[in-house]
Amino acid sequence: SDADAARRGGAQSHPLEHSWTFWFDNPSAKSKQTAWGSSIRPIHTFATVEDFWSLYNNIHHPSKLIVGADFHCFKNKIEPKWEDPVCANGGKWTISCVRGKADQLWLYTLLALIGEQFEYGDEICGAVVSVRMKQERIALWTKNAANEEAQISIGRQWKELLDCNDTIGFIFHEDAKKDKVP
Amino acid sequence: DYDGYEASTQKKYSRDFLMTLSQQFSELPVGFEIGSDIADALMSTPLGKSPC
Repeated sequence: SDADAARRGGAQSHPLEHSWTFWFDNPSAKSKQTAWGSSIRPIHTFATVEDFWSLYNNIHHPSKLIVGADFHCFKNKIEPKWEDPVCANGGKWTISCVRGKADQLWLYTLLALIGEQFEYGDEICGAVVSVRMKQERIALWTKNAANEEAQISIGRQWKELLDCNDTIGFIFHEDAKKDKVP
Repeated sequence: DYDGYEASTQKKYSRDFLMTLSQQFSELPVGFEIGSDIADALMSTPLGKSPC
């Protein structure tokens, strides 16, 4: 089959529009670090459908990750941090669900990103799933929070793609930062 | 031509199309490396497993 051929030699591989990087923030390392973000690190960069599945099929899905973990999928060269120049003026849409229920939402989010299903895909930085004690949150990071038309379109399309009927929230990174100030 | 693939300026793939490939790639990417400190937290399959 084509898939077998791709595995052997990559001849039939399916290139993606963008390269994407998976990042992992390990909660057990977090406690030993003083600065936020110092425990986050890139895991793998992929640029084909085949390479995506090769990694995805070998890593824990959100329901199996330990509490406190953050797993990111961002366009290559964009760091999943507020400080990244591409993210600095952006914001995020967030969907929450009870612990153990985010696996399908996360997969569908990833497939929509790498498959370029968003009309305003250029406005997207990436996505992150955050595993917490009682819930799992998935956030979609965007580039220009002031571009209201793009934000509305992305949020609406995301809900449609996930078949989500809940109200989802958007927050500017600038406002999120203020909330963190003691 | 594949269903779900549009050979335009953008490489678009539908979810249904991507899912058809999901079970055909079970081996870790060639050259994949990860620190042992996070391997346990992240990996669902043991590292160093021979592909054959």
